Amino acid sequence: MTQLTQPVGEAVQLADLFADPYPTYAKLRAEAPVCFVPGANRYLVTRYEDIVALERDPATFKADEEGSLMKRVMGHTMLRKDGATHKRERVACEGALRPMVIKTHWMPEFRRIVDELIDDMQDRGEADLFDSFAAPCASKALAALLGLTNVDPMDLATWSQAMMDGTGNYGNDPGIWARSDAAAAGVDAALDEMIPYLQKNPDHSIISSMLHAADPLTREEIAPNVKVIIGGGLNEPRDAILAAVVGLLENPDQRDQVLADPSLWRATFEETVRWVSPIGMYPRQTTRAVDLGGTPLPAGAKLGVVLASGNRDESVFRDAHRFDINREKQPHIAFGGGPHFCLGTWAARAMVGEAALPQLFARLRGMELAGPPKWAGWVFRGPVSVPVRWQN
Amino acid sequence: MTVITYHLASGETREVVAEDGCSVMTAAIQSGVPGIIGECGGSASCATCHVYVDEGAGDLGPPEGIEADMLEFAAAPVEPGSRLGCQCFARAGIARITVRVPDRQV
Repeated sequence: MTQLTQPVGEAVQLADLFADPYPTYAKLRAEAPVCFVPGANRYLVTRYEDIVALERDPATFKADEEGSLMKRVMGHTMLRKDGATHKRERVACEGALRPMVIKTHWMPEFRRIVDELIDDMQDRGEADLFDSFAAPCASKALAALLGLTNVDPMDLATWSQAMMDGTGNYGNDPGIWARSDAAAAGVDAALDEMIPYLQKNPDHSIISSMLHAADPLTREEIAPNVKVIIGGGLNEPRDAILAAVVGLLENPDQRDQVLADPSLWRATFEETVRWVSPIGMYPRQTTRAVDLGGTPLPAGAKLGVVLASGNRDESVFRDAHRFDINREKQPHIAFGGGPHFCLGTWAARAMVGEAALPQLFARLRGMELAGPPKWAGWVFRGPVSVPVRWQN
Repeated sequence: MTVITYHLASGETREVVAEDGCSVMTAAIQSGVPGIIGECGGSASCATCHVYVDEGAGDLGPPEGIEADMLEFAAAPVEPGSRLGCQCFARAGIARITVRVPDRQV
């Protein structure tokens, strides 16, 4: 007998997810919350409750996924390690990213970067904030945070994209490998220059923190982790800045509210990354047969943990599709959870929520959308174009 | 083993018997005690397991540097008994820990 309805997972097309994943996520949450999706070659986990549960059980849901292309591109990074080996490398980075260091050392730097970019465009009266503001802002902040002061921030952005393309190169495209290999070589060359300097001249940067930690990392451990921070630390703050601008400009009542009460920038930031989570999905793999949310999974099952969907789960967030800085406070999962809880959380809160957004809205008076913003992506999602104009 | 009592913001009280080495945060998560989130799983990175220690504070000692810094970023006001639940551990020699759970963690 012919099957009239395709199983939910087989109907999922990656092109649809890339254009707008949220209708698909809603369907998956309702009908098959842990669902094998052949197009992604993994089970997508889409409900909030199941995501929180698996994040609390890293022994069963490991990060060290077999066949990870991230290892091909970057080497073995802490993002694909578990247990004590992960923890050792993470702790070595934390010195540069603790909230007190962010507040006292990095905030003045973030403010300076933001103000210089606004200086450059303020007289123009219009801009696409992707190219003119958010992308360079994220690149410059990341170069400073890492301690790669010898690198042009625009090169950092190019490397980031090339390495991210490599981690998704399941089609084995030789051109993509060539670019990601070149990017990795660029990072290695920059490290060969900076490591000896930072070894002798400790500062507040992440690479310095790795070198001077109580249990310091070797050159071989530093390189993959710097690559993963470049790959993963650039698009998220860029996308969070742009998503917040779109959320506020499309909801002028909320924009007026936050301009009148700057203490609401924190809630604005948190609501932004809940509404459109910059990291939409990350991989995990089961170490044993296990039941997740009523679905039996075999040992070795590859999962896609869809944070973006969990953050739209109506059983936790009422009118979850709406951008609402006044919504009842609930812990969102945009930063993940458990041992891999986002290392850059406090840097992002400060850079985006305390520097970029407040200064942008304060200085570009009367800012409004000059055309429809464009969005793209599902593994990573954010606006790719935000045309605005203001009174110059 | 340590008996941990949680006074919740709702007025409810929960009691959990925790094995040695288990944290106030982990004991709450494993027993479904609401109001303690523990986003980062216990690495003193998120400040969402903030509690006020009323009994057992002397046995636990004061918060160390990293924990004290992180507490400044907790959502609810910091008081003299404030600790991160993930840094307070049950152990032989501490019979009871009593904590108040703040009304918000985010």
